[in-house]
Amino acid sequence: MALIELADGKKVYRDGDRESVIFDHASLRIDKGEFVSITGRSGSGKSTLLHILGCMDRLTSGTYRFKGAPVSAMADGELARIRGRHFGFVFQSFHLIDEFTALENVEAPMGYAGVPRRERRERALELLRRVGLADKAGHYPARLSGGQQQRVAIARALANGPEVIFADEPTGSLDRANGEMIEELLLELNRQGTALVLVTHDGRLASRAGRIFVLEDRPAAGEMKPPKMR
Amino acid sequence: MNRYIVSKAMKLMMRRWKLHLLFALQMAAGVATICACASIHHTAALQYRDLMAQIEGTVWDVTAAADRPTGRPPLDLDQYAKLKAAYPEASLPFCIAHPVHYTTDGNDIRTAWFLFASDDFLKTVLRADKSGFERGSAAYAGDEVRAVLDGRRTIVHRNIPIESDAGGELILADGARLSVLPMEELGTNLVRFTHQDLENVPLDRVALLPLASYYPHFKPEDAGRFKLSIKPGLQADGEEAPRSVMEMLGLLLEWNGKDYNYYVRTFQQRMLLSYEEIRGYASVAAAIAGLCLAIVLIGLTAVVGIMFRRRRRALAVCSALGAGRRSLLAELWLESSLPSLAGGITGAIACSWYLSAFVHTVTIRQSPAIMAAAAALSLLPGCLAAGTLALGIRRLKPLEMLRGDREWR
Repeated sequence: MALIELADGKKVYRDGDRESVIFDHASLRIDKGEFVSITGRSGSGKSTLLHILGCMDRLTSGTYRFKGAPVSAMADGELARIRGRHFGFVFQSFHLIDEFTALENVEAPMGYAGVPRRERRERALELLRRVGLADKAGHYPARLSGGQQQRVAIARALANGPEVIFADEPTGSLDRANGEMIEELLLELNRQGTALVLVTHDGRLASRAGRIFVLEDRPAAGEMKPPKMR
Repeated sequence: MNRYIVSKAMKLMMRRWKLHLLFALQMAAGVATICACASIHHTAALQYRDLMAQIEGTVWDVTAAADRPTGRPPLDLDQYAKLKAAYPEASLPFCIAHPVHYTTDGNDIRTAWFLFASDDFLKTVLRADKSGFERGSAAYAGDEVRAVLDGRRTIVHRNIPIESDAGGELILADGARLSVLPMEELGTNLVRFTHQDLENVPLDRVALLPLASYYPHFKPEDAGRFKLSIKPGLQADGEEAPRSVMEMLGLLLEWNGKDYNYYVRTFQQRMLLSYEEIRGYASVAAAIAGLCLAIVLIGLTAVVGIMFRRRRRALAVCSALGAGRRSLLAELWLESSLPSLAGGITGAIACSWYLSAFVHTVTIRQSPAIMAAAAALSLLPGCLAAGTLALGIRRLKPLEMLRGDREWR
């Protein structure tokens, strides 16, 4: 059974009488531990697709199944539960909670999932150690560099032991050195068995995926084989 | 509620303590003002009500004084009958009181009272319903008075129109005869009078004689012995009672104004007017305080709204991290309500302390219900903001927030 299965997906935004089709006829299958990248021009709907796959938005039509269960029919609470327990998110702008320390940021998803405080703390420290930031546990985001913030965000994405990590331009705001470090960290996680769905403009990074999903500007989408580099 | 949500809300509150402290202080000031105004209003309303009840049950005592000696009484029998007819709801206890001084076996000088009384006097003062007594030929006397009448006591000064007494009868100066019955036959449970100048006179030193039997013996110097009381009917409330009393005085002046002035005790009336004024001020104060509170609530609700609108991206992040909409709402509600509730409770306590410690000119009656209601008002901004936020959170699209390409409306 596929981990994620999208069939004939369509997303339309309505603004008054105006309708804009973001994508149409999108089909995609992601298996456990797979690395898939989603590319396309700006405005082609990459992030929208990623958020739909991450249960943060819904399809206008088509079906989306996570581990065989139809996500489209699920209530908001159930979607929140899936996001919290099965998915991890890494964003281009990190999106850490400013009022929380690095440790508290990593603890947050576990808090919402009802993990007891002591366990939460131990696991958060372990994750920070894993991304090389154990010594920055008490620092607030404002005192961390971009690369460090993104590593905290990755630790946070791993908090509940997700089966899939959705990363939206995770290196887009970083310099080359930090970008490469984050890239390696994500690939390492993928090698350890976590599926990785990556939205990127970076052809080099996209080419490291097992499969590339290309969204064209027109309301149609198709799957292409991995490039030769692989 | 998930413990994490509570601890997160507390943590955020502590991190933004300056903002929340300011918020709490504003709320404390608002609640203290409301609480004080409401307590003053409550006190004035209660005292006004008490006074109304007092006035409703008050016997208004009317006395007369003549400018010069006159052969006409301050209130004759016909006028009394007219008053009663004009105000059938009112009770008009009326008596003409004559003291009689006598000596006991031990040669102590004591005073007995011979009261020429009306039916209403018996009914109101002694709870004795003896209709027709005031124009009848029966008199009631206590044991001591009967001893005086029997000659077992020596009268020192006889200032009553009684010629003689014999065999249980009183013979008045005009020859009228009254049969004397024991006071117990009135069936009263009273032991002492609690009325006018007769306060604390034991009932065994009192004789009650028909009112009509006095008039043939009226002397100008007796004018001061006339004691008319007015008890407006049960239907007359605290505001109507003084009006009725004034109307009756108007009638008395119309009939006898050439010879007499009439005086009525108006203390309660003055109190009533002053409390009406206080209540008026308190109502205005409460209205202003209510308006202030409304403004404060709207202002604080807007502040809470703005505070959380700024955090819409953080809300979207939390949503992506697995927070359900209910959790987000609970978190926001807690964060906005706890400081304002703390401020509200502080304001109510501060108000209570201030009123007890510094307001001595009037005893403010503080009500726990008012304090609790004022403190509970402090939850309103949180609830109003939470209501607005609930609508916002229902429409929350994490995607839009995280990309920042659309405003959260």
